[in-house]
Amino acid sequence: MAGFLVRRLVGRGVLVVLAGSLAYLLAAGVLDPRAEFEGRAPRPPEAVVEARLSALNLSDRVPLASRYRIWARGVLHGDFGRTQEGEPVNAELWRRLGVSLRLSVPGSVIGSVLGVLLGAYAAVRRGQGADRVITAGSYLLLAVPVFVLAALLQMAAATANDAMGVRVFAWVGESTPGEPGAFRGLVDQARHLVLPTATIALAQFALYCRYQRGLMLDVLHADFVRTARARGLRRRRALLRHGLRTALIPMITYFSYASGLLVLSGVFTEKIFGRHGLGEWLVDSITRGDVNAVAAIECAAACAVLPAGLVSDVLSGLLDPRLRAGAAA
Amino acid sequence: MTVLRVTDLEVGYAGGARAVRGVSVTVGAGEVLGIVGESGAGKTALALAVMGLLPGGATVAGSVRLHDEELVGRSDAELSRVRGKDLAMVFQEPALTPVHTVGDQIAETVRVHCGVTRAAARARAAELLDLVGIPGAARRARAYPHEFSGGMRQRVMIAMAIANEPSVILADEPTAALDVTVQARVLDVLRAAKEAVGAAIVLITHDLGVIAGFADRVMVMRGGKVVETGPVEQIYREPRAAYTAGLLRSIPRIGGADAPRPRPERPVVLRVDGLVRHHPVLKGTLVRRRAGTVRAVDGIGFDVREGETLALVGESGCGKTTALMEILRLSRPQEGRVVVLGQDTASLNAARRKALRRDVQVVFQDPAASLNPRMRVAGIVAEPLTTHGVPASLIKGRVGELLEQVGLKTEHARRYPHELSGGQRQRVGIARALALEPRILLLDEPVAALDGSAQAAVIALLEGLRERLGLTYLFVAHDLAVVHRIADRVAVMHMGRIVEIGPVGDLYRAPAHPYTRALLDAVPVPDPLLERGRRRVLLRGDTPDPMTPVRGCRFRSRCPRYPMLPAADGRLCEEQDPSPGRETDRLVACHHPLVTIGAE
Amino acid sequence: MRTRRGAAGAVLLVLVFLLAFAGPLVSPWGWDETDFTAFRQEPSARHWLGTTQSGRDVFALTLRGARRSLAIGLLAAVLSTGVAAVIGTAAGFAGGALDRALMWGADLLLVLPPFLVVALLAPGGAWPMLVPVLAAFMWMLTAKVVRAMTRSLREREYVLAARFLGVSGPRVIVRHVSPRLASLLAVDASLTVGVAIIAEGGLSYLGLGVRPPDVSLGTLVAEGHGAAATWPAGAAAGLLVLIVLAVNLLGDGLRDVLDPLRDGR
Repeated sequence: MAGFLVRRLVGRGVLVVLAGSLAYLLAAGVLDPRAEFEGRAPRPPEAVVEARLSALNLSDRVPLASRYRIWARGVLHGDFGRTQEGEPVNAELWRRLGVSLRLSVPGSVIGSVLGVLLGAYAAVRRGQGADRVITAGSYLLLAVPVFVLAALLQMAAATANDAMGVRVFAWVGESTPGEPGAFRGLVDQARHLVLPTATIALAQFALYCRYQRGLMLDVLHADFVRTARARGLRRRRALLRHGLRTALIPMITYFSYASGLLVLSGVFTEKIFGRHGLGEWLVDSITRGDVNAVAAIECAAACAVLPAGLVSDVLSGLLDPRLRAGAAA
Repeated sequence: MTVLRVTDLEVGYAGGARAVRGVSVTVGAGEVLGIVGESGAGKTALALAVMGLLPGGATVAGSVRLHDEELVGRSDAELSRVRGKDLAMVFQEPALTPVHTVGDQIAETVRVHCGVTRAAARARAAELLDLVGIPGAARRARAYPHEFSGGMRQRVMIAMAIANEPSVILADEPTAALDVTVQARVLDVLRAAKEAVGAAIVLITHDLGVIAGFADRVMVMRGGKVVETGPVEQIYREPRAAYTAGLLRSIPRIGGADAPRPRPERPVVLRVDGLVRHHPVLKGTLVRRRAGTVRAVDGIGFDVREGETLALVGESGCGKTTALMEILRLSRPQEGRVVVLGQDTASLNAARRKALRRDVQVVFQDPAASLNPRMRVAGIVAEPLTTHGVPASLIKGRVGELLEQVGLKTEHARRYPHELSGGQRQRVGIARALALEPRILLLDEPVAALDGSAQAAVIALLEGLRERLGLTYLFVAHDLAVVHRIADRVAVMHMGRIVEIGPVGDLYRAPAHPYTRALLDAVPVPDPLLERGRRRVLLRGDTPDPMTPVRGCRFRSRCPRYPMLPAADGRLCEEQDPSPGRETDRLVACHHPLVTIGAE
Repeated sequence: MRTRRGAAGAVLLVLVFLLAFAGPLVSPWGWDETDFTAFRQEPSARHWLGTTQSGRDVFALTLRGARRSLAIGLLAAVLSTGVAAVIGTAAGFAGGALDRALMWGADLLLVLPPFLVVALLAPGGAWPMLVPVLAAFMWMLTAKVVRAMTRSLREREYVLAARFLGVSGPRVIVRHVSPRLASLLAVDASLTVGVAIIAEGGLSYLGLGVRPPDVSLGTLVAEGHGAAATWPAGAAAGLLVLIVLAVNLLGDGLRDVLDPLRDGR
């Protein structure tokens, strides 16, 4: 088992290194940081711009290969360089990673759990009212892009605030500036989390709900569920203990695939709700032409895929005895 | 005393099909009722209706009374208290939940009906596993279903069925998915389980041989209706209905003393020497790694003369189909030699290989899978002709001719495979194989997927074609009765090797290898008196894992003879791999054969 | 019931197409015209869906955006499905080194966050540039499914039967393998249209896809977001949701019609 994990780790590691390098080369080759500096008012002299770009390893007059070498050497020492403003990328990366995860983890967990439960429930009630409502809801949600969904939620919240006369919902930034007291501050932060979390949760919910419904329909008439009922289990119990438990196994792959993308999943949500996470940073950096920041975000995102894959392997092994035996043999 | 009484039962499926039409039957305490019928007779629908487990959309009318309590129309909750407790069922597919241990699933059956502690239920599970003959029951209870063979899983299903000592067990084709050797063991277990708890059994099957030795009374069904019911002896000796008589006639039987015929001196058209095919085994779905090697075919040799039929027989997994496929590839085997019509397949180039394909054709087991579902019959039969450049003007006439040859009508040419019955589909498969006028036909279980009467008709067709067209058959089968009827010579395979080969009459009359003997003994005889009076030698255990290499004789672990041998003789089996010896018409790979070969 | 869903999707899609392509014929205003007498107006007889802050007709703009989005979505879906079909069947049928190389490439693209590369490669160019870039990140999962299916089809008895008859490899693919893949690909293509339209909308929303002065549904939603008037953004968002819904319904309906036995033979 250990050997198998190590081999898998190495294989994926190579993939991540390649992906990171590719991202740097793409970013450095396509983006134009010089334009950003030259566009400043007052326009700095040519020599100053060049000196600044060289110091940041951004000058397009240096060959791409040598810029890549400098960057890669830095990355090997755990240093992603500096942003255009001269701030270290690392510190900003960690800070923003925290912001992104605080937003996307609760949203994804709520969305996927709800999706799995309601998807399974809809499958069991196939063709009945509950199934129709859930299926129609997930269909509609899937057709609504995140940026539209967020706008709709904002509109609904604004209407609710007006109707109640109190600002129950707040959504700009992570907190209201100048909110006094530790406890009030915490409540305020939670208040700001509601809408963006709901946005992420709803989007995830629709996806998982449809997957799980399909998987559950497949086991609904499985022979082993019939066997369980023939032994005297009621339909509900046979479906929960034998059907759902088995239908969950393929979901692991979806979970891990989605959690690998967790880091960047919040691009729209962050942008719209003004939360300064990785996704927002990525969009801004691309617009600004900030090569080092873009490359660092890409590396973080690619790295996130690595543990996600491993977790998926381990979880599948835990949930599915057939794989466990395969790994141990 | 009657425990189960079914009165005027009607079952309709969503879509309007009436699966069961007015069936009435009673089952007495401790009695065994056999229900026979071909597919579509409504046997399974009847069983599911009694259990209350019909799929959604099905309608039930009539009455099912268990101990005078009505079951039809009761809620799921009420029925759940009866199912598995007083009324149990064993299905054709031993389907256990893959993610729970076998012991847990048996224990669950116990606990769901009586409030015993978890530990007590576990202990009872181990006890039940022991009762159904699973060695090391306490340890094996912690195993998962996929670690069990099909026969063992079916025994687990029986253990679950008797867990709460029910008064009736419904067994729906419990052995149809199993090999004959395993079938005999599972039936024995079912019989023992019945004795242990005193339950009545309703045994549903299409196999009249299985019922003959097992049932007290027999009910024959057709198209959802009862054809006749009666004591087993009467049904077999003097069936009242013509349908039953027809069913009985269509069963291929072993028997009838055929005089040993000398092997005709004709040219050899197919010769196989030391053929080897090993598969790497990859495990894991995410990352596939080589976990070992299956020695599917491990050095086999035989020859087939023109106009002769050689049958390859053995349990599933013995390598008989793999051997067939290796010959069909017409290219260099991993080891050994295949010579077809005098040409060594290793030396063929692409053009000669394609030319040789005209002479060597194949008929597959499952006619539904071997015909492209999106092509019409005419297109399917014409494909070999177009492939080998027959002019388009001749094709239509030839297709009509071929369909007629296999007993189909010209209007069948326009149909799609799914619009045909199983027997008709197999005829299309045969027509396709005959299109290029081959000299050798390789048949992979050509009748195994067919019902009794269709089976008899297809065998008759194959016999007729062999006479008329002078074909040579290599016939892979597991059904020894079918083989007895069609084959001239038989090769018995076990774990990738041929253990015995010889003329069909000699081999069936006096099997030399203990495995051949066991295979023959396991075939049920469709005659209640004979079947009950038979003394049989059954094999111990299941087929060993084909991945673990065995030193000495591969059959040793199952051999009924080996434990009885004196130590000195037994050592030979442990140390030396027996080989079939030098080439004659009758060969056996056993150190201690049951009859001496070559003395005559 | 499910085929009814597919029919509803088809009807909806036809209506959207009619609206997008026939609408401009009856609209009194062109999408690039500016009415200097009407800034930020409510819907009226003169401007059916009102006007934007700069006095452009919302109805005409929205239809123009819908045509862009539809074109990009359809082209990207067809391209990505085509790539998936070719790579998937090649890898599945050939096996060996080719199979490993192709699947490894797909894995690499799966690790790269598509958003990043699309955002990097797409900017600045004209809208047709968006098509291949979007397609390049949508084929991998389909290719893997096609590969798995080809591999299993290769072992089917009727495919074996054809090969034992002497039918050549390419002919076997054309006659026996590809008809079974066609349904999968048709379904996939229609579902990918939805994904592509949403992706295009998202990129344009962030200012990384279609750029002004050109418009797509994404840019219209972005422009309208936060503005006091909800008309322009609402119309674009509604149309976007409608298109994606129609395409998804149609895709699912197709799956049920073409592949009634998803696991069977």
